[in-house]
Amino acid sequence: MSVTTATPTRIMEPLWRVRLRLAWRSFKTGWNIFRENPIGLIGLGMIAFFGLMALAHPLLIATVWPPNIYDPLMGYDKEIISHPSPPTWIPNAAAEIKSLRPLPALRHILGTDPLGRDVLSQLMSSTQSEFALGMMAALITVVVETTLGAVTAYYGGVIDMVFMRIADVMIMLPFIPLMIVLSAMFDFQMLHLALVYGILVGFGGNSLVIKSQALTLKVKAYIEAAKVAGGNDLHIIFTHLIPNLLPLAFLSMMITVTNAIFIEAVLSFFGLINIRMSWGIMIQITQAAGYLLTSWKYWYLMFPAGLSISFLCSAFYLVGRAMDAVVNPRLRKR
Amino acid sequence: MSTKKWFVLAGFLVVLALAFAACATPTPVEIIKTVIVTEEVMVEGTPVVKEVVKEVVITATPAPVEPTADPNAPKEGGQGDVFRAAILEDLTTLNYWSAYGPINSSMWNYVVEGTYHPIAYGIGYHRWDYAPAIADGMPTDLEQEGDFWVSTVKIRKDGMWSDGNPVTAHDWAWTADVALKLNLQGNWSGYDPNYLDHIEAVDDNTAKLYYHTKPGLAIHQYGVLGKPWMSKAFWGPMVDPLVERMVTESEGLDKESDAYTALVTEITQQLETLDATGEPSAGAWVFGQWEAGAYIENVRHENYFDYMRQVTEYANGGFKQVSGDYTYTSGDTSQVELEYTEGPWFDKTIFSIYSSDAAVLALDAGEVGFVITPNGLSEGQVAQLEPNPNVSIVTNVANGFRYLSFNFNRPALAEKALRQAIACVVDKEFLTQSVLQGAAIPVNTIVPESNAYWYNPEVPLFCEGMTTQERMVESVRILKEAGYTWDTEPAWNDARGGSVDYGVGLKGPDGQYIPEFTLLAPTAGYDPLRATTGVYIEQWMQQLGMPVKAQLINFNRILELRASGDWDMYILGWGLGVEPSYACDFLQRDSGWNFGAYNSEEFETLCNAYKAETDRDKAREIAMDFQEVLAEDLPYLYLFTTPLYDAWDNTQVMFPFTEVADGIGGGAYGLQEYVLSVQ
Amino acid sequence: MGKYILKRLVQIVITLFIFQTLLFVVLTAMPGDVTNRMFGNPDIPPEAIEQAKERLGLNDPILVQYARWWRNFATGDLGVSFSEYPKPVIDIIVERVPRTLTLFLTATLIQFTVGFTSGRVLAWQRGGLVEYGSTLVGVLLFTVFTPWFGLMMIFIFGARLRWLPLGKFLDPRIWSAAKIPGLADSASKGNFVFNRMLLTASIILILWLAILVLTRKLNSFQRRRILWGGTAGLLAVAGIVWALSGVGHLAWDIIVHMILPVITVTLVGYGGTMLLTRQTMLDTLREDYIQTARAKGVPEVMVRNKHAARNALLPVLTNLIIGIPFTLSGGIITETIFSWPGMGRTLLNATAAEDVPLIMGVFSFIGILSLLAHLVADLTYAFLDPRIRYA
Repeated sequence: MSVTTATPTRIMEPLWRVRLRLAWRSFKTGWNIFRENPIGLIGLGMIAFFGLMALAHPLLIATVWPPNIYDPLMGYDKEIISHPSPPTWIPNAAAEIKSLRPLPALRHILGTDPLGRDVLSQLMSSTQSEFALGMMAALITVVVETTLGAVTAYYGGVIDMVFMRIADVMIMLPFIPLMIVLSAMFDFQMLHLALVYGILVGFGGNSLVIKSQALTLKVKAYIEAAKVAGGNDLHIIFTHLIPNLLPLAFLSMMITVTNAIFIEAVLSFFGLINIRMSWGIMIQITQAAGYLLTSWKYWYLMFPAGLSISFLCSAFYLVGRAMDAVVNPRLRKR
Repeated sequence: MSTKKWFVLAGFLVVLALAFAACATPTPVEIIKTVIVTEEVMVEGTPVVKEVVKEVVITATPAPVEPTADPNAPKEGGQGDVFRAAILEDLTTLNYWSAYGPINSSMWNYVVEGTYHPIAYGIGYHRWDYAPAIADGMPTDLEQEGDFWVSTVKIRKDGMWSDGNPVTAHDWAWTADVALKLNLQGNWSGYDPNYLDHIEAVDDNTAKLYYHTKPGLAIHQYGVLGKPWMSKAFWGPMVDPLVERMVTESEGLDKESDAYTALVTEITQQLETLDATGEPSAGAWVFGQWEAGAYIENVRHENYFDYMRQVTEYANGGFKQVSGDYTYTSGDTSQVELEYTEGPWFDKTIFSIYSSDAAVLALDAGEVGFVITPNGLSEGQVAQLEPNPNVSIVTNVANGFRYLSFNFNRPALAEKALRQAIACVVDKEFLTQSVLQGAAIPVNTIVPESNAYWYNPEVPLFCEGMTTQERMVESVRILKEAGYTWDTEPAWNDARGGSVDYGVGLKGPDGQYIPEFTLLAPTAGYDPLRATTGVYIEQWMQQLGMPVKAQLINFNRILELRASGDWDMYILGWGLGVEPSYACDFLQRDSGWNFGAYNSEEFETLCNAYKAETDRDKAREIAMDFQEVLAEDLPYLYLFTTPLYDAWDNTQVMFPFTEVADGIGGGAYGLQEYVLSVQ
Repeated sequence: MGKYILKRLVQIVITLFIFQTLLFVVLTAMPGDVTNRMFGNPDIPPEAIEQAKERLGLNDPILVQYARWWRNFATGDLGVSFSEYPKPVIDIIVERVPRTLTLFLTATLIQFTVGFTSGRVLAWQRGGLVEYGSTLVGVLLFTVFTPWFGLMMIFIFGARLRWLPLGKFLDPRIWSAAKIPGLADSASKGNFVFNRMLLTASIILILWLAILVLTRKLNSFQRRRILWGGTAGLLAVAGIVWALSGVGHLAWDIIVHMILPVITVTLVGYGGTMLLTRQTMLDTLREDYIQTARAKGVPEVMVRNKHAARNALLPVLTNLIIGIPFTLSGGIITETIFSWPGMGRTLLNATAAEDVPLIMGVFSFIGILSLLAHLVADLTYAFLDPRIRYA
């Protein structure tokens, strides 16, 4: 863009608006490509569904669900004599549920768990923490991997060598066992998990991909121009290099979310992590109480949490794949 | 090249492979054969000609074996001759020096190997009757003889090791000697060097126990008299050199010195890694085979001395046993309550390793006859087995308790009134009946109710049987009486169907705010009962305005924090023995387990008296007293114990009795000596 | 090439050093140790715990422990396990590796074959219901919560339908009576059979590859005949040898017990392979030589199977080789669920017990395996892809 040929009004437009406009435009093109792929839309729909679940939980607790019955941890339905109890809407449920009086059909849509708590409420409140974990882990990963990728690509030399060796080790590390060992030894909470996970992944394979991308950018003319113009290294890295790496990083973010949620579930399942409620813990409680291999009768203990983990993981993965086509033009349909 | 040629090549390759395989299978192998060799050996200084079993390595090429018949075809004799039990973990060692030692305390070793070694006196599984095992009659009372306190034990003449040697007093004396000289720890420390000096084998059938300090019940009757004997004939040649080295090298070494520790370390390590292959058994079962990770097989011991032991239990506590030529009777023998005969009644026991859920499925499918679980089956597993008519289920009570421990090093928690208020507001009935669905049974004293002889039913309780409202009012009263105040006092609120308006800003008698506490409990994954209880107790304490936060953390982490002293409250559990000297172990001032630094003169005196008491009934009186002191002082707030479900396949096995403390699986390891075949 | 391998080897040694050091630092940094567990046992006085610590070398300075760790590692002595005391770690590893290998190599091979074949077909079906449907199924399987899925498999096929065993790797009813001639009573019959199964599989694989190489120059029809005939022949021979060996029924018992875990691992893993194959196939299809082949009028099937699939095989194969150590350790879930006494379950138990030597041993093993796999993957790439030349 040449300044001399621009009209005064164009010059008046502040830089941030130009940037915003450009971003909006690239978003629109991206969205159009994304939209072509029903797979991505399905994923997005699933994420939206879980998002609504997460948002609805506090609202329901505030309005129609008295906390003494519906609290995911402390709730307890005294009307029902024996727990776990099947969903109340099932015809003939009354015969199965030993309750003091007939219960409305929507009282426990997914029944109660072995400790008398509402399964649906647990499911919904866990959704919040799964989202939080996934987002935190993904954010940390993106920050670590883009910074690392950009810095090592930009400087090269010793920094690059050290980083490469570390990346080698990280790639080599068997991930699930490592997380199991770490969380068993150190008392992990959700935040710790996100942090450790994000850093380990950030240092590992993803950053290699980002680095190679950064290497191709590094030799582009505008970087050279910025260097010649006397921009300092940090400025170049953060204003020129990293913004151009973000689409790629964003792609890996989706996979990171998937994996983080999965790992949390595995750790919870083995009882290695210090959180009070999550989908993994719901399965763990079912197993510890001995209902996991019992019979179809207890489907409301076996399926909701197990399937939710699968669906939410898939959803992010699907969106990631669809975004792949946006970021990586080679994959588009011709 | 033509196709034909290629087929020829392929054919050649096949032939080559065949030839290779044919050569590969019956390769010469080393066969270890046992032969009997006569040789001269030294027995206690005198040369004796003796038959010695030796292993000789022979190299041979085995003949190809015919393929075995269809493995799915039923074996001759059906299932009746094999007791199939599911266990949940693998063994770690066959070396009992190690299994009974401190590092290796896996229950599963005892399940399988626990029956191999004879003991002088045992405790019955059913009613905890104390009776002679390989001893003949009761020991003589402790008498002073010179510097020593001495008791004499007669030993039966018909005890046999499975290698054909008789079980004698020498085995016992030797085992005790090794344990004392090598300073063995863990369960071996029952041969307690602080009391026991040595055991003398007067002759094959008389042992004399010499104590340098007068031992109490826990050391003598429930200690040395119940510790396992090892076979001197088998272990002697391997262990004696170690003992000798220990004696010579430790001479002049200070027991506190590093050199001494290093020596003990090295020698113990050698002892614990000795090869136990071929170790004889004197018990009901002899080791058969062990396929690591899959199963262990025990074989019936043909010469078991207690085989066909007739046991009669009488209603008023009387007990009678007839075993071979030996009869033992105690108590009032007027009204017979239960009679049974000891086996073993199976030719083999196979312990298969399953995960807990798979074990239940296997029982359901008839693959195993019984599941040995340390903590019983879970509610869901019971629900799963209930519809199966072939499976019988019984409930027993665990001899143990989960408890809330207070750290007395925190000044606020060292206040008795505060602990009592907590004890009052914690509604054990609600917790166990409603929340935990009857998966737990309230416990009120350090001796659970199931341990009837030692249990004190009259300990003081706080707010027993009160409603939620009454509990709140009463605990507020207790606190007020002790001088506690609030910014906002907790109040009962009728508006929302009855609930508590939480108190705010509790201040101690000194006018200071109570600092924030952390309540540690294991994660829901490790133990849902304790996790849930932790969260409930947190809420109840918060109702009273106590600033407490429950933290559900990794079990190992709780142990670490507890050991470090950096904790306020925790919820853990104890599994208990029969005789309640454990109370002193847990809470006496200088005990290593008194993590909460409980310190009470009264309790200290009672414990010391208890430890010195040798008479069971007198000891019981003292035990009643210290239970009361503890229930009043509340260093522990006892919460609950759990029912233990045991299930077995009633088409395969049956039990002469099913009432067993800690459960048939957890307490009696499947009653292997008594279990009967249904056929 | 030789120079490249040398360079890689040096890199591997450095990486191994970093890996081991990191491992040591992390494991020693953890709070507490195995003696924690003894605090739970009222029969063990605190003095004994102190003595046990001394015995296990836990009171030594960190550097001494670090040096000992390297010395032991170099001599192959990985110390004594705490939780399975007094077993040496190396014995535990030697005992469990064949079991893990047998299960997971089988599963990986099947998973790879199925995944690659279906991915190849899938790449051809763009935009249709088939693509979306199978992608969805693939993704669902790829992201399914494995412990839950494994338990469901046991529940359905083991408990409800009773077609397959409920976990474990053998049936004691068969094994307890079996006698293996020449094997000492205390030796593991299981490992005897496992090792020979692995040996058989390797021999079959080598001979099969030999046939593959020898028939390279034949035309496709003849080649296929020989390949199929050879494969069938090899399998038949192996079957006969096993049947005659006297332990055939034991091997068969193991195979029956492997079915369910193998199906589970395959289902969970194949989604990933399928999606990857499809991706690389799509990449390849854009290459000019494919366009050329099509323009020449080469039939679509030929283009797909000969031109495209072969090039797509490379990254997938590499991924597979690199993935082997991960499958081994990822077995932590599968092995726990199916009571399979392999490395994964060992690691989980060791972790729960804070058994540092065992954790170290297992991790070192996985680490070394992983490094070797990377090397093999690199070399395979170098050999198979003419475009890559290593200086």
